[in-house]
Amino acid sequence: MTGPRSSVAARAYAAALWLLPPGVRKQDAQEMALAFVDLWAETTGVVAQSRVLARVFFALAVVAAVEWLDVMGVTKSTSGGNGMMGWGRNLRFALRTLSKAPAFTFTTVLLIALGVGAVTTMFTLVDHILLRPLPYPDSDRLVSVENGSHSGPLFQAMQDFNSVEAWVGSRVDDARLVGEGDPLRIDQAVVSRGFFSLFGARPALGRLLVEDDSVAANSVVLSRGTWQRAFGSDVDVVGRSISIDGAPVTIVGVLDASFELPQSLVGTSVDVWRPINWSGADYLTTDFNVLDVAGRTAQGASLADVQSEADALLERMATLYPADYLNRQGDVTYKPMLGLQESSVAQVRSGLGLLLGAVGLLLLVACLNVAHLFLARGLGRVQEMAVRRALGAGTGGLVRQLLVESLVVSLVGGSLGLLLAVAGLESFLSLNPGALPRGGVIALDLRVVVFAAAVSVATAVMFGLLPALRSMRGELANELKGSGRTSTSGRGTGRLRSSLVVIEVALSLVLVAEAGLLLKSFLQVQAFDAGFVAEGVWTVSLTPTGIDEPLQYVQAMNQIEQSLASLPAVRSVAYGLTLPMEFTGGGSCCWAGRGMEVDGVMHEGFRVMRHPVSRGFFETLGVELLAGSIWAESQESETPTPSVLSETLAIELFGSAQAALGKVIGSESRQWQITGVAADTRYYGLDRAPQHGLFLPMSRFPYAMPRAHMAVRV
Amino acid sequence: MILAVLAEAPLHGYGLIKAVEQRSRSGVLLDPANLYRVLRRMSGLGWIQQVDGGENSRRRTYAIAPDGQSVLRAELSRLERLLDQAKPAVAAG
Repeated sequence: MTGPRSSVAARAYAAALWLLPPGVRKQDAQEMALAFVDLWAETTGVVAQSRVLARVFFALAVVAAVEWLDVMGVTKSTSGGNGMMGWGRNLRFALRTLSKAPAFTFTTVLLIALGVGAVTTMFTLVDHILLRPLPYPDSDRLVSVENGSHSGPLFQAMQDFNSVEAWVGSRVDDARLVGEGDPLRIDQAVVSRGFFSLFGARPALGRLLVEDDSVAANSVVLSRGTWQRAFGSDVDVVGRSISIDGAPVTIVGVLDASFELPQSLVGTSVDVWRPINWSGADYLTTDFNVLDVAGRTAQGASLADVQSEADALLERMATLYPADYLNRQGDVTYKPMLGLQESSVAQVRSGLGLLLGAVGLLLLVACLNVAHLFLARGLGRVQEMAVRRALGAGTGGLVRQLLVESLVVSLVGGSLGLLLAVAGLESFLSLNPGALPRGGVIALDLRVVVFAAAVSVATAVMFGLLPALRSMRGELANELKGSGRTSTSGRGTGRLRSSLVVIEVALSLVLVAEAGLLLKSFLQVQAFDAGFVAEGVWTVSLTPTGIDEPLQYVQAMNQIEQSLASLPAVRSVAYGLTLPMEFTGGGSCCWAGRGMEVDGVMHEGFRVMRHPVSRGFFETLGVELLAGSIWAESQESETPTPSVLSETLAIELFGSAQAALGKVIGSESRQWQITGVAADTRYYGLDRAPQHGLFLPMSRFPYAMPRAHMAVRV
Repeated sequence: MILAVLAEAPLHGYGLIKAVEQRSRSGVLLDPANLYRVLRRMSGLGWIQQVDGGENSRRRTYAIAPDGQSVLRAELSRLERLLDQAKPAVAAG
């Protein structure tokens, strides 16, 4: 083995011999290795060598598996006790038979692989997202509130619920972190006390937030990623002082990497965690809904109990603060309670169900094709089976042989399907990583492998073995004479084949119809008027560093805007605090107003999102100006602030777009003069209603922003 | 097939692979793993035995044992009988 003829192949074969059980290895491995060396030395040419390698290594893997089964007492195929009908022999016979029908084997394996791969991919998603409980203590008792942010006072009042042990609240926004090196744009979550214990989070370093932290509100817990990225995994980071949005804070700990974010509360990315500063103005007013909440129900309390307490509280709040808790029709705006798991998956449940159903049908069509192939192959083997029966083979032995053949095909197909599922899952998740809840933890695991194996084996037995058995039911004499196909069994098989074709066509029609509906929805979405034109627009979020003053910030962004505009391919450039679709990941725009004052009369009951943008916004995003014009650069410093209003709001307030021009809206402290009216835009997603918007110059935005979005039309 | 080949002369592993390939006109291609599994089974049943390989003593050499001779003879006569019985049935069709 180690002589001059030793080669890479020989060494690989010698290594592969370790697959064998120790007893067999000790007895024969050396001889087998010598035989391989001789075989390899006499094989010349790449094609022949490839064939030998494939045959020899495949056989070794099969023999090793059978030997281990023998060792474990599952089979006794070498002892001679079970004679020629041992499973090991059946397996080898099946491999030999299948290798003689490569077209059949290849097609069947491919069909099963595609079906199993598609179903396994979707099952993995459904399993992780819909079926598995959230990884938090008593997760079945965690509740949330559907589409509802809460004001500070409402959140505090909710703590008195008898049906809920504790409510926690959180708010996520952008911030700027200055620690080591350049400032970083980060996602910051401010959380109420008890947040981490509700979700069972543990620190990797130091400690998590405690009740006392919310008094001074100057502590911060880093996420594992931030600790690694911004602090080089420094274990002495605890106790260090850093700056977030200009405020000095002290690092008290690092969150363990295993903590899975409650995405319905904090989205998919949080870099630092800070306590809520309850003395902040944002949390003292009832008209500022900033907190997303979750709670754990008390032992024995149901969701209905929580709901009735929440309804009663909202009715009380509506009495005290009608402007904030009554809608335009004067009804109390109730907040539906639902389980945290349900609230996490509500948006994707129907989509995933639809996809799983579709791939289930696909698997069924694949299975029917497999059945067809086995049936056709069975017909081709009628005489072979008859001869074997005439020579004394028992029906049991033949059934076992057919079963092993089916199992081999299905397990090879299933294994290939698993590989397809790994690739499919990866590409599915990489399409839009933030779109699926719990997307970061989705992976193939033992449960999924068992699922794939079960699907494969069921496919083999139901759709492979049964049709093959049909071919063994004819009269022996007829079949030996080659007239089996005209017998009664032949007619029965014909009926089976016809039925299969009918079912297959029916299922395919269902699939085609489903695909057609999906395509129609897709085309509708494509043709949907979102109020802006996304084609040809590239966006990027930017964080200019080393800037504290709002005006410096605007100047820096203007410079970037101008340098981009000078590029030959660029048709127009704009930037804004937000851009359409940039806040769809669970957060909401950071600057909203309730109602609007016109001529001293307050119009309430609606939200107006204020969008600081540069002048090129409407041209770059393709938002149509219906009346008036964009403010001139020279107007930007004027008071009232020149602004562009969205269409529906202009009509609601003034009757028409034209009538809104030149009007002043807002309160005494903050006023805007309408220079133009723009078409409504679906800023927060195509499935959301257009929101009222007020677009104003960036230079009138009174904060130095940690991040802005730049858009370029090419 | 292996018994038939060994009935002619003792052979080592690779020799058996080549002899079976030639005898079957490349119809049966053995590989080391399957070959030695079969050899273990035949040794266990007492059909073959290890013998001195002579000058090529580095490799294990196998020869047919008396029990193997009997099995080979019995199997050949069974196949002959079967052929005799099956020929008229097929010819009649």
